[in-house]
Amino acid sequence: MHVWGTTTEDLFSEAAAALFSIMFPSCKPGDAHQTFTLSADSHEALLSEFLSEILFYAEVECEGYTSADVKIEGFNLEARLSGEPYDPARHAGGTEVKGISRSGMKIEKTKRGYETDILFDV
Amino acid sequence: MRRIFSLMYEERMIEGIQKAGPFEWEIPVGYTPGMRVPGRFFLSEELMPTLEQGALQQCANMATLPGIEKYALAMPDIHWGYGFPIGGVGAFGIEEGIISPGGVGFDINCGVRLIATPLTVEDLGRIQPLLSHLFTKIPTGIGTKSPLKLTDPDLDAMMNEGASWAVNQGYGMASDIARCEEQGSLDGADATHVSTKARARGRPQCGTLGAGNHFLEIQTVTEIFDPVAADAFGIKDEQVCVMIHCGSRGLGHQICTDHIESLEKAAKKYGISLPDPQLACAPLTSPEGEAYFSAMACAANYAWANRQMITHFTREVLAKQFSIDYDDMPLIYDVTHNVAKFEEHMIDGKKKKVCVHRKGATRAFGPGNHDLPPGCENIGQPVLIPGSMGTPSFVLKGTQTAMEKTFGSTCHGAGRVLSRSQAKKHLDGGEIRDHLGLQGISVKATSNKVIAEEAPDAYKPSVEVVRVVHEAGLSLRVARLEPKGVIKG
Repeated sequence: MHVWGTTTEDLFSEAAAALFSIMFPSCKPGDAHQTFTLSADSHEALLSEFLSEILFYAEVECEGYTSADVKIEGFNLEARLSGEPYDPARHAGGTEVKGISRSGMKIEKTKRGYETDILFDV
Repeated sequence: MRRIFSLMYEERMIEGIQKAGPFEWEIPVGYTPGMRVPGRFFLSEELMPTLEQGALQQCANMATLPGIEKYALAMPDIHWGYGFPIGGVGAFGIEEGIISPGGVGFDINCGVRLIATPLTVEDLGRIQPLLSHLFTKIPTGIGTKSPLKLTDPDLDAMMNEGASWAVNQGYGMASDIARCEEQGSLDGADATHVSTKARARGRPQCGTLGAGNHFLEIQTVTEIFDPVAADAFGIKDEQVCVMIHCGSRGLGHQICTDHIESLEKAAKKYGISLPDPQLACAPLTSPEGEAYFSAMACAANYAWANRQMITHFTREVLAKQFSIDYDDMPLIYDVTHNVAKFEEHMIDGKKKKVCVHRKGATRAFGPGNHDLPPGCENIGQPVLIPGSMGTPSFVLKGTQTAMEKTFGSTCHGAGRVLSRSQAKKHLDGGEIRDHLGLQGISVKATSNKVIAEEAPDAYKPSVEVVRVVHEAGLSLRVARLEPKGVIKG
């Protein structure tokens, strides 16, 4: 999946949106929210940990997300996920993502802002 | 649908490869810099057009890892994967070798088991009610949870003991254990290396089938190739069997995610040069390598217990629906196809302990080996090869040739030719459901998209993949099973 954003925060939100489009194509914005913070030693590590954290919350909280608000300072991240409770009867049709390949991910500064390729293991 | 398959033919790329036998090909040292041994893969001329350049490169990359013995191997279901190709097998010496999650995958101990029943196809009647009962009893798909509430000590015991834990809790029969590879439990599991997050994902999912390519299929035996082996395995012509394909669920995915980070750092710390960062690894004797093995073994044991619980639910449904005895549904065998484990193999005339990584490959121990189920000592290990939805599955037996050529390994399935997203884009799940229906195969799935992802045309023909391993002698055909009905997540 190729993702870009004007800022690193945009890039992270877009990466989350890409993940949501695979896993939760039929979920709608709702009253399910999760907030978490993360730290890492690079933006690449932060991005893969951020996406892995989404997989974790989606599964243990049984929620399908539609958006992620992200604040980044240095290599510290604060995220708020929004969506609705996941209902297998209504929300089937997404693809289960087993993991995020953190290896080889490289965030590049381009004319469009920041870009990267992300590999989802499905 | 056929059009897509022919497009794949045009993408053929076999430059630099040498034929080493009728079904055997060699990737010579030098194909990619740093190869310590050659690569070897098994493929027929017919399947050669399905070979992806990326998968070939991944096989060559495996050959650069420290301590790899003899060959970096790939089975005929070779397919582009994460780190190792799917279908990849690599054995690593204990002192000098490494362990890598890229050689196991995110779904640790994804595996297959086959259960016999006293039923024949005539007894089945209309299959939809049975599929509905199974679908209700066995949580299937994303977001489904187990009706059981596991405590932390329960989860510890499950991760330490594997299939035995489930049997001791009442999920199955004592005789099931001897019918699992490694008796359904890897030694060396240590739950202190399993994170709180992995535990949180594992607790609610025990006894669930999951999503993706995982399934439960009602099959009938349509051909016996080897009556002696079939008899030893407990398989009869026209018999109804149940095949279960699933793994360690979110617990395994999280363990893989957690340990990749430490193994990436370890590879740098120990000065291991990697051609692909997805091959992050650590020496087998290092604290990081040992921690990954211990956690991976926990996930492997969880998966065996999981399949054991689903077996129990399946037997309960069948016993009730057809008024048959629970005890009349013995386990034929259970194999893992995503794992790294310690085995002894003859290397250059000497017995040596190695860590064999099988990433989408099945153990296929030949006659006379240890860890063969009762009655199979002179036959070889039962090998279970699921077809894709709508195509036949096979039971084979392990061979001495596999012991000599592939560290006792064979293929694990049909192997993809289309990615899940390609399949979703190009194939129509509703159309496929109708087409399968005309062949007498019923599908109960959470959505048509799932059917498209796992459609028969997204895979290599299972018949041809099995023909290659049979002709190459890596495992020999015992029985063929045709699908009658399937439930999927």
